[in-house]
Amino acid sequence: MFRMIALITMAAAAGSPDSDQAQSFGQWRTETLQNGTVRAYTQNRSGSVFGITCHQLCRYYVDVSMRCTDGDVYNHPVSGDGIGTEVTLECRTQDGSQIFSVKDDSGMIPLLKGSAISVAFATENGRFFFSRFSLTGSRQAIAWTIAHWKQSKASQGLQQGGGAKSDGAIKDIVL
Amino acid sequence: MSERLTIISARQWTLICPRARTDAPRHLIVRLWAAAGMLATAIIALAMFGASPAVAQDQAPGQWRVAKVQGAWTAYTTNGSGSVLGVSCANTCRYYMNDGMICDVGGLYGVMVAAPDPRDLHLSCEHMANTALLFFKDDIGWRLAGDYIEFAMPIGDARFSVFRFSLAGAKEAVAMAAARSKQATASAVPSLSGGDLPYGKPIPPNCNWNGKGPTPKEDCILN
Repeated sequence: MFRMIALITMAAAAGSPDSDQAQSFGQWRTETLQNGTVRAYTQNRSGSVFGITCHQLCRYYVDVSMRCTDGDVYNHPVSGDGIGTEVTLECRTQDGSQIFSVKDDSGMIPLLKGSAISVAFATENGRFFFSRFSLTGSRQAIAWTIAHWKQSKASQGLQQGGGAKSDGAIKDIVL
Repeated sequence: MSERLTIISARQWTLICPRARTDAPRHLIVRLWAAAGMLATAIIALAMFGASPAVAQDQAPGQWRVAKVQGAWTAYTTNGSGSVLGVSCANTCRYYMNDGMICDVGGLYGVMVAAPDPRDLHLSCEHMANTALLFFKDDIGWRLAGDYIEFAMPIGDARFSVFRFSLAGAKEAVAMAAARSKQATASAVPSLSGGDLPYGKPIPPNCNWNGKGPTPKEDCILN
């Protein structure tokens, strides 16, 4: 069951960004964290965050400051430009913050071609709230993130004596 | 409100669901249409419950009503916006919803039902007697507890529509419709005739839709 909690941003939870790597693309921002995570995200006026974070894998996520049960999976309707769909979100605790991680990235692809998306969440009091996120700049930001993540993976592979390896998750998130 | 609903495009349904496009509503025209829809609904209701000899109506407690239409029993409620939530019982009972929106026949749509026990539900579109009905794929009888039921439906343009219905008297009305349907003999229960059921807002009259294939968006969206 969901419960509203105070906003804990991904930035605070996941570590300090490397400012040299931070860039803005429209309403989106990219950054590389000290732990090697590369991410792109947008934050709406309510403080909710939607983005993609790449470490071992790349995963889209939503942080709407709701409490959830770690590991629980929910199907949520999402509204985009001329398209409605549902995405499967998994509650995950990440560095002390609970976020919803998108389990099936391929379902996001059509949505990301628009200018904005909204996700519906049910609250305990029998109502809904909707988180709307701008996608202005998302394509560039995500492309930047994936490129830098692949570059980082490749360099890690070279250091370990191997080349960059193909990862199925990459194919799913390339727009 | 008259907008084209947006078909859920989950991968597992892509093959059987044509994808609808969604246009931005023209708010003034939509408002005018909403007013016309209310008027049409009132006229239909008068015709159904006031004049038609094939329709009988029982009083039910709360905000729900039960009507017998040509041998089929329907329990339904109408909210302040003119949207209808109901259950139609012939051989089986099927829940439906109508907000006067346009949907493509056979299209699969999705809504989220609010707490308690929030979850996503799926609906299929059927057109009956100039109304676009969304039939729930699953029995939602389990959710008829509490004061209200609320649904959120993606309608494109990063927007949702929210439908809120009173549940006062719902259980009693649904039970009444189901029980009376079971009492009827098979021969006395004809196939449903949509025009006689309280299905709510009609499809806009300028749709020129023949019931087959994708609905002509340009006309139906009230450009």
